[in-house]
Amino acid sequence: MQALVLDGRLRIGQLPRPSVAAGRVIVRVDACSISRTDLDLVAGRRPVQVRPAVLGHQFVGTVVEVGERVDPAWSGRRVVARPNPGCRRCTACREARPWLCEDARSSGLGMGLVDGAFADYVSVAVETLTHVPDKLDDEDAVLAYAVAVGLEAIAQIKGDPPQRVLVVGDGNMGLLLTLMLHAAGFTVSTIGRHPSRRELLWRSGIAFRAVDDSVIQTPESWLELIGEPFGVAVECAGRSSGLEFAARALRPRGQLIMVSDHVGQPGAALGFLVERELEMVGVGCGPLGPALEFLASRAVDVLPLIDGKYALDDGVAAFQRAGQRGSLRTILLRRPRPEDV
Amino acid sequence: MRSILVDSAGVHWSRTERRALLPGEVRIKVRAAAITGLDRDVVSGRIPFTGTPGHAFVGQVTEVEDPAYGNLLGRRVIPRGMWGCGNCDVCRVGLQDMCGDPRIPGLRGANGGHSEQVVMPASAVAPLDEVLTDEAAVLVPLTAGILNCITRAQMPEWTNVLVIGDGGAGLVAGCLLSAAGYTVTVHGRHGDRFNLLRRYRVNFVLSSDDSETAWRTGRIGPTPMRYPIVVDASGTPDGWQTCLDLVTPGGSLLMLSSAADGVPRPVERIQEKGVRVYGVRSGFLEAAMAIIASGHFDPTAVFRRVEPFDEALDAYERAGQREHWMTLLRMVDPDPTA
Repeated sequence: MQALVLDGRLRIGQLPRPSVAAGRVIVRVDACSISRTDLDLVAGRRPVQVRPAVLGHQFVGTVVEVGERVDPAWSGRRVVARPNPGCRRCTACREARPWLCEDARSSGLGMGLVDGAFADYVSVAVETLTHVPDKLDDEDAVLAYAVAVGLEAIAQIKGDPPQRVLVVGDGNMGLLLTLMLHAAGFTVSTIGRHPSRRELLWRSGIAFRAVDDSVIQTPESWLELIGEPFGVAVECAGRSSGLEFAARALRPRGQLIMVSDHVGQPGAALGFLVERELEMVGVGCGPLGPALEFLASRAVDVLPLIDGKYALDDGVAAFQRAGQRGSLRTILLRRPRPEDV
Repeated sequence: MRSILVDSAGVHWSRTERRALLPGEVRIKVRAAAITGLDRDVVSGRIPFTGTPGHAFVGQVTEVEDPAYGNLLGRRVIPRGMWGCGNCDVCRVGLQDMCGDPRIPGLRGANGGHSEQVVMPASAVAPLDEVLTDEAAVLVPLTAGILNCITRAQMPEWTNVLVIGDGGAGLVAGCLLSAAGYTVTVHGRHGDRFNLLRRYRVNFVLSSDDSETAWRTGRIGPTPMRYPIVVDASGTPDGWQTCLDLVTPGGSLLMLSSAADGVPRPVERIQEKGVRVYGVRSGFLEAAMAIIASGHFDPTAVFRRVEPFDEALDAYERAGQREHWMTLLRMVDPDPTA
């Protein structure tokens, strides 16, 4: 089968198709999104444990083969899968939040240890699967992973709509969260670095300001920029300066929700947490089932957030595109093959 | 009046004329003030601030501008955590607590208590329960902040709590949370804390820098236990890292004031582990006063050294020494002309 292989650098290669094991299924990958984690792994900001490695964990596909001890009803279903099976013993797993399980993190699918979904086929543990409703296209369903993070972030907000929420960052996560918060009834203001985002957000009636670094570095202009301080800020900028900006826009005892992972960033001076007695919440992932339901409800039109579609053969070019400043979300789609029929 | 001043020239004594009160202000004659880790960060310039340091102090009201606050005259008071700028829309409608540009004595936009006198808005002082000593009064805001976290972090009873750091703030947190019914372990560097912690039934793990790192990263011994609630009272980036390693995924991390030193701390594990971080500085003061007044919790044991105000500059130096758990500045001879 064809796969996008990371072996020092990215290349298209041929690998044997994975064979099915007990408790696992083989999924034919229909679409796979390039995530921030994938870019970090390729750029070496996160360690890759095995070489060569196949990345890719945000995918949607069709089950083509089931192993022993797996319900045959899975066969032929369209599915998404969370990267971590979970250890089922730790507190996080027992509280049904397996994405926080530390034990399983290292065996995360497509995270550099177990081969992932930038390939024609991928082997997945059956307990990680979630069924995709038929009315969702592949391009919608592949955003379930990002929507799951968004829903988890919104669930952390204390206080109800229509309270004001500030979103810092206008990358794909920032824009998605902006649209989701807007759909949930919050009064959203978004601050980012790309003036080109304005049209997309203003169409929905969302306040958007593009700023450059000079504004962020002069504290006097902050309050002028944001008006009244916010009770809740969601940080999706992925850099320490974004975190500090979000914190300064908050009123005392406000809530700072951290969505980006800050890998490779120097860290932030956290004095503002104590000074203003803030609450900072990290949100890494969330359950996929509710995310698929949310997508199926069509509360948010997510398709404008995908700005690059490539076939797996063009995977290397897709990664270059995804890594460019200002690009939103790039997905790799499966090219229909004669054997499909 | 004499006060300590931190400005571009460093930290030094300054003598200023007392200024007239503005509408709504009160004048406080300072009786005692703590030198905390946060104060030392201000004095050393790690926290950018111009003015008089000292965020934890107690004093007596000697003058009020508005007769409506006449009941404060002669009362011992402590500062509430912050007050609003008074100029923004939020302040003008009376929501000073939500001001985006808050004034915090000794930290941000307002002079603190390392001075013979402090001037503050009357709404920003809390009259003291007369049972409390000056020493106890100085620690009321810290006590209140930790109590506040029990509600903010929704800490279930009997939870295992880990406190990293055995300085003044760490000791107060450890003893208070144990007295409040939690199972507390303090990780510290100083064996002389053992007696106090034992009195409050706090587990104490004594370690050195090297052994702590080896243990935390699992290089020696079994995999370290994870705690749903971890208190960072270490004041060092290394201690912060230990906290992030040892908190359970989805757990809570309480950050005490000594951590506000302006040194960048890594944040990537907060997102990865889904941790909640709460900044702790102050809280519901009346609750803290009631608990200290009840006699079941006495935070003053952390004051191992009382220094006269005249020696404040040297006291900042000495406060960093390990045998002085926390230093109290006492105003022995207030200026009679003040």
